[in-house]
Amino acid sequence: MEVSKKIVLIGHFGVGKTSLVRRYVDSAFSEDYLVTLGVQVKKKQIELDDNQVNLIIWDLEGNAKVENMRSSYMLGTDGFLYVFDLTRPITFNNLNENLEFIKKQYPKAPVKIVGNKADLFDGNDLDEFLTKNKLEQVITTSAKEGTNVATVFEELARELL
Amino acid sequence: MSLKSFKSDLLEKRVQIITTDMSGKVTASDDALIPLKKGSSLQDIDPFFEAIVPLVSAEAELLEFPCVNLKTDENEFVLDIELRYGDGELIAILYDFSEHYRRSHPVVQEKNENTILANQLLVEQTIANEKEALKNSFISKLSHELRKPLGNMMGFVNLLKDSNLNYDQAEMLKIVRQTGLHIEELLNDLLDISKISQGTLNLKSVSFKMKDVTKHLKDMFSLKAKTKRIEFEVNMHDNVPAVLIGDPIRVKQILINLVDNAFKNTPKGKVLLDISVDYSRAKKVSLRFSVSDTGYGIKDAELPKIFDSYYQIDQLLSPTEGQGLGLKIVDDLVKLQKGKTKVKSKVGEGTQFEVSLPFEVPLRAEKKPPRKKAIDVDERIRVLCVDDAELDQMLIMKILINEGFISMDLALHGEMALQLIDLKSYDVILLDLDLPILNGIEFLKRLRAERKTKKIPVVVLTAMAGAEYQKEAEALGISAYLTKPYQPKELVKAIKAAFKEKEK
Ligand SMILES: Nc1nc2c(ncn2[C@@H]2O[C@H](COP(=O)(O)OP(=O)(O)OP(=O)(O)O)[C@@H](O)[C@H]2O)c(=O)[nH]1
Ligand SMILES: [Mg+2]
Repeated sequence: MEVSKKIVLIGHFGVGKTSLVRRYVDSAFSEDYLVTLGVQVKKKQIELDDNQVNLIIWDLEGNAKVENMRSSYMLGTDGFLYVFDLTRPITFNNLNENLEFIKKQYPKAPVKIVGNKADLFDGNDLDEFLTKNKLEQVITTSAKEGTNVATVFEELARELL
Repeated sequence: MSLKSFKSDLLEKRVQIITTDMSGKVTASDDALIPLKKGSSLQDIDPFFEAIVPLVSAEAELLEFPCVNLKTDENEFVLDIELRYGDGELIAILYDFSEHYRRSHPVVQEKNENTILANQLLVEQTIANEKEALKNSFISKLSHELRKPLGNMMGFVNLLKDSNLNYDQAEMLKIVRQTGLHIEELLNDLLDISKISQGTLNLKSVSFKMKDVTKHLKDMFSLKAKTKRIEFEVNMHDNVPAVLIGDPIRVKQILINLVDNAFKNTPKGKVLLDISVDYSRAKKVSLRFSVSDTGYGIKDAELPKIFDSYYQIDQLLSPTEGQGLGLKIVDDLVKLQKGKTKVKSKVGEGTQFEVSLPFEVPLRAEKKPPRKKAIDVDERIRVLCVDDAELDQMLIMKILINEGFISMDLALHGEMALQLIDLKSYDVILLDLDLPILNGIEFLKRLRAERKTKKIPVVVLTAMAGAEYQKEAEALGISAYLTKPYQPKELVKAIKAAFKEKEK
């Protein structure tokens, strides 16, 4: 069976949304920061349990509040990746507010919470940090090193089947 | 972005119109931006269309998407895209705003980069502050902990000094005592440093005579000068106001540290303290204190580091004679008083420290109150000592017996003290704050609440040197607040003063 699913990446600017997509789709990474304006869409085909899944990945411009984002971008979304930057508390301080808004507006779309830039922590420090900030439910990734990147996309895709 | 260029973007914008069937298969296109092959569909242009085409219907007849980044084989575009439903057909309108968006890109880029930088600085600052606070609280706890046993030791050393010792024993005890005093000094310095960086060291503003400060210094260092055969000179210029308003204790502390440092680093020659007026304006005066020596001097490369606490601590831990924390304290105290520190040095010739401190000058020199006659040791003073530590009690008892006091009772905690007070009357209460059952502060509150006991003078003896404790105790009315370790003389003086107060 072949299906298409729309996945949308949201979160504050500079947290690594574009980098995660690049790592996943193009297997590349750049240290340079190039701001995304508006939206850029990429596609990746994967096999999941005998299914051919076309992931249509919408990489949106950064915004601190989901409420302020252009709602037309969200049309037809199957699942969200909410990305924040583990090294910048400001990008996860309002996490709950944003998640509540998404749940209310798009009740059918599952949301995965992604803490990116894990490579900037030492192993133990990261666990300690997550517990301290009550972020245990978060998946930590590194677009730079590729850690957990495919996992995040594929776990979400599996939930969408 | 100027209005003009925005308008020209709008006027010159290029538009492509494409019609397709409901599945996105192209039926007509003007190819103004993107050439489309026969039989191709919208989805072939960019995956953007994949999730969108199925959404258009008679119910949702217009969908608008601003700022969509598209990449074709030949070109990169930033487009505003409209999808419309019309009579079983789908119409896609592509507006080319590439120039417009590209122009606004650097503005957003710069704004975001600056914000991220500021976020990161804030995080670093927070971490640094947390570390500093942790370090300070550790230091102050540690020095409190060390004060208690040291106080006990020094108490007994002082008692031992006055007992029958032969010459050798007395000499050895002298060294023990000096070492103890040195540790005490270091602990006090550490505590001061942590207090200053925690912002809990409060400066006093009282009138004092600079002459008294210099006399104290001369007394203190004359013996050292004699034994080291170094000349020590204090030179105060005539125009230095006789009476100043400021914190004499901290001024003294700065000068003692500077002079002591000079002595330590000068094998022969001279140490000179020179006090002059920097500038004076109305009620304000800034004094320049210069301490120069003819000692070893400091290498240029070391100069910027000498006020650094870590540098000092490194020195302290090295096997050679430690420099102590004196210079760090000087620097901190000077900054706290909004003054300036300068240092000049030449290896082999000597070093000069220069400190400028601001003071106020009282309008008229205040008259000193007439000196009252000191009272002699009074055997009638009845003392109640409230302290749960056996060693502390023993120490106090021995000091008082040596001084001729004969009436002293002991209570182990506040509750017990209240019972004793109910039965007997006392002239002075010596109170430790850290007590079991009823602690010192609670005891004081109860004492002050009763008419009968309201006026009994209390001398606090405690290892808790924090300003908060002292404030709290003072608010309840106490005669003196002595922190352990204290000198026997201080204790006796405090008891006598408290007694005198009561007699009035
Ligand atoms: N060390 C490290 N840096 C990363 C990682 N992911 C992204 N970055 C860096 O973070 C910066 C921002 O990355 P982007 O992917 O452009 O962030 P974004 O979320 O797309 O930003 P906007 O488009 O402005 O919302 C870039 O300098 C990246 O190199 C990561 O996993 N580790
Ligand atoms: Mg981006």
